[in-house]
Amino acid sequence: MSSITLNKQSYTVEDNDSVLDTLLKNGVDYPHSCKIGTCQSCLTKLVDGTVSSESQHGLKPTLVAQNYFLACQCNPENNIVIARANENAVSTPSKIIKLSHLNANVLCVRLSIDNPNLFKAGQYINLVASDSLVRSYSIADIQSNYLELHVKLIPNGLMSHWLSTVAKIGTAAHIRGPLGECFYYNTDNETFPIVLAGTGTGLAPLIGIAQDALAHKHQGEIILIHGGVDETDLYLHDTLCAIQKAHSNFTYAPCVLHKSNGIEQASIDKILIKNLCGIMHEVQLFICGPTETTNKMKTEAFLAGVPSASIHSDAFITLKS
Amino acid sequence: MNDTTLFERLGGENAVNAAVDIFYRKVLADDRVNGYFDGVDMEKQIQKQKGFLTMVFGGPNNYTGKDMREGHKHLVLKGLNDSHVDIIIEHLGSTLQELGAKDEDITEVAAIANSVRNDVLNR
Repeated sequence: MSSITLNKQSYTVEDNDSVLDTLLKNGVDYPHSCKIGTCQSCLTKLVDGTVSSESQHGLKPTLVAQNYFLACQCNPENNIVIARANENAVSTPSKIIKLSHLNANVLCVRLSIDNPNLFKAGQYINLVASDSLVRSYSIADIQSNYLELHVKLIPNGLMSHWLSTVAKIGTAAHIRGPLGECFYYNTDNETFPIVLAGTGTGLAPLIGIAQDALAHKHQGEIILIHGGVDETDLYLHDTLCAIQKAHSNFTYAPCVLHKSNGIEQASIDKILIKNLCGIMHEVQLFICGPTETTNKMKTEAFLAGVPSASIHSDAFITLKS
Repeated sequence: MNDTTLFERLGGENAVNAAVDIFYRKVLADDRVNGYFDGVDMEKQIQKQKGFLTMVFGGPNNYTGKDMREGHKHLVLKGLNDSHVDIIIEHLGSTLQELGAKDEDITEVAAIANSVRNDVLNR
């Protein structure tokens, strides 16, 4: 008889019960709705053991790649260890190896890591400065020994304050994660176009995903749209221009709201729709940044005809103190 | 009539997946109702719509009147009324028509959707 372990508590699977049935029978308050694998409310992360491919039917490939499955569709044949979706983050010790400004209000933070294979550019981690100071940041770059984050400095923000005044090269911190499903995934080497759009530090995951696609020699077109209020918001401008020069299938499309020399003046959702024209049905679309602009872009892209399953996004949430 | 269920006749899970984008796009494009979806996260909403479509297509579900009431309470306060429910049922019908469903099946779907009207409107 197989067992399911969740939060260090083990439950025995009876007869042909699913993982969800077993948890519910044992009084576990577990998210669920349709119980037929459609609504995906019971999305669960496999931590150890194996699950059938039927239990991953209909999930986004990015979720399958991270061992997610549907508890209602899984009849475990062996012992498994599971975690609720998004509560699976492990914490690893790290230290700060670089701190520098990308522009007046964005900080580049590099954190040491031992195992780069755990992370995918575009996912996010929780930066743990202390037990009470934890914030989420997207991964902009992964090298063999460090992760790079772009931290927007928030006036009176606690993490901003810590990074600006307390943290130095060598300061210890913890990395919790990674989390999120906003990353490059293309096991069949398809040539679909990729469009990435975001404002502010939404650029961090987007440049990470674009570089990852280029590193995997993605053959389709890649368009990165970065929006700002004015050109001072467009950090890494020269880097992106250089990437465009080096790769014929990469286009960098900056845009700003205020009048500027040489940079297109338009709102980012207009530039997005313009670039989606003619590729709505094939595109894989990545949208990142502050909640309001991401929600607007997601909805407009969806209304313009991009399938909901092709829209990938992790909206940023700024904590209000 | 044969003895297949409504859910089977419509095409089951595949029909839900095919219908969800078409249906939700119609709803979001309709100025009479899209204000009630302002600021909602699209991905979460697509999951919720899948649950809703599974229910009204006669599929297995665990929707309870309480869920329906809780989920729409804040919208009733903002003015959600019978006319909006009618519009949703109308979009449901035209979605199914586009997917080639039979008229009598569409009527059955509308009847299921109608059966939760009072819960949705918190009456």
